[in-house]
Amino acid sequence: MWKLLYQLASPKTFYTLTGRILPFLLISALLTLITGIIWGLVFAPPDYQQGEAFRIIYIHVPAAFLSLSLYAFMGFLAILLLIWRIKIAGLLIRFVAQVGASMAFIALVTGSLWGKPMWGTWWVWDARLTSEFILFLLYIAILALYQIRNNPEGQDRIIAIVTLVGLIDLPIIHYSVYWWNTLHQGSTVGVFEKPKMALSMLYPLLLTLIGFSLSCLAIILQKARLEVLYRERKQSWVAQYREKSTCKTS
Amino acid sequence: MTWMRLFVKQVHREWLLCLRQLPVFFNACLFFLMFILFFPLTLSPEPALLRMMVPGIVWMALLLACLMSAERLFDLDYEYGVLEQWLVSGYPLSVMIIARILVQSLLNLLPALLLCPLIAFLYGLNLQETGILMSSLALATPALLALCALAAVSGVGLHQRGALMALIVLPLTLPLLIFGSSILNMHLSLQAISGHLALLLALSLLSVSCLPFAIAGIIRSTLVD
Repeated sequence: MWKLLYQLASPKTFYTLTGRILPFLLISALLTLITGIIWGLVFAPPDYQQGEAFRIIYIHVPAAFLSLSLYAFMGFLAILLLIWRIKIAGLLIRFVAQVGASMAFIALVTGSLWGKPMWGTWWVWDARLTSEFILFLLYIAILALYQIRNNPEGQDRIIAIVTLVGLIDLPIIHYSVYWWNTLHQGSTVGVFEKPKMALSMLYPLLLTLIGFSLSCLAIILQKARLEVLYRERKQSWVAQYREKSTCKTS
Repeated sequence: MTWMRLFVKQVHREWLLCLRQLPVFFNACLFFLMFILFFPLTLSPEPALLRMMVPGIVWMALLLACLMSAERLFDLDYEYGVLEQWLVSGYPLSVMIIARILVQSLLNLLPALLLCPLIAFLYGLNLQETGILMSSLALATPALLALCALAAVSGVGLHQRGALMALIVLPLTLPLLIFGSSILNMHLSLQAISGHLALLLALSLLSVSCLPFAIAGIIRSTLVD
């Protein structure tokens, strides 16, 4: 695995390798996403308590899961950049943050849409909701740091450091919010403690989870490829690549 | 020069810098005073409600005061090239940053502590409650200021970056605010508070010992082009 990482660290290998992987990634993402969503929204049986409204789970849970795991991925990339000086990792952080912020936003919106019929309100100051919102703000803060006009590599390192501080602080934030909520309101209704899911509901959820993850990865890689080309525009391999592509089109 | 001597010298320098800019200190006092005086006017004037709100008000005032004073924490040194001298001096950057954070947090804490008797008078707190409020503020300010310094240094050279700093600082300081502001309410509802004071102290120690390295890393990335 380390060998592969080191190979990926070179911009040229990263570009060619991801170029080969990307079509398969896109096709498999589309396939799993479409089958998962159609299966979940049409064929899965309705819930005995929540009726048809529970089907929003097939969007909500993958988005919430990804908003958390993408932050962990950002932390991993930050460590790669700061310790092993892998520049591609620093370049990726920005796009992971963009996708992660949108996933957190989707999770918040679908959660609130789901909350209205189930709890009767759009928003409760529940610990999990609040910490998801704070996670969203943290993503926005990291994205806002890209306003700093610096050389791109220094900027990447600054953002990697802030990301790591946030990664260490996130569990503390989560538990403090949890503690705040239990002090003030007592335990909220166990809406989240769902009865164990039936397999006919679980399989489409797993499919959409895989589909969401693959499509996020595809988006991140595609954006990163463009950025690699832009940053390396003065290198010879990009010039060769450009010549080749112009020959093909003409 | 050993690190300890470097630290002492640096603290001395920071202290002198602050002493020669006393108006800044008075401005911080005034801001704090205004905040605690005007915030209740946006709420209803029931004494019971105000007593419940007072920790939150004081903590928000402290956080905003820290944010405001931290905004220019590294600016002058950046403009005059002191940061570059720090870098090329060969001494550990984090030691100098710890000195700055400690002196500045003391400076931010002092107005709050000085005005605590007035807060107690305005909001009807007794002596013990005031003591608890003061100790919770004192224990958490280093962590607050270290986080503010992190936000300040990551936007150094940017103009009008107050909102950006608030965006970074507010989520990160949330645990401090929650634990800190709940201490007084816990005491009022007859719960033990020493655990929470210890938590605040732990967070302060953690951030003052670890964040200077992060801040030093950011300074390095900003200056080394």
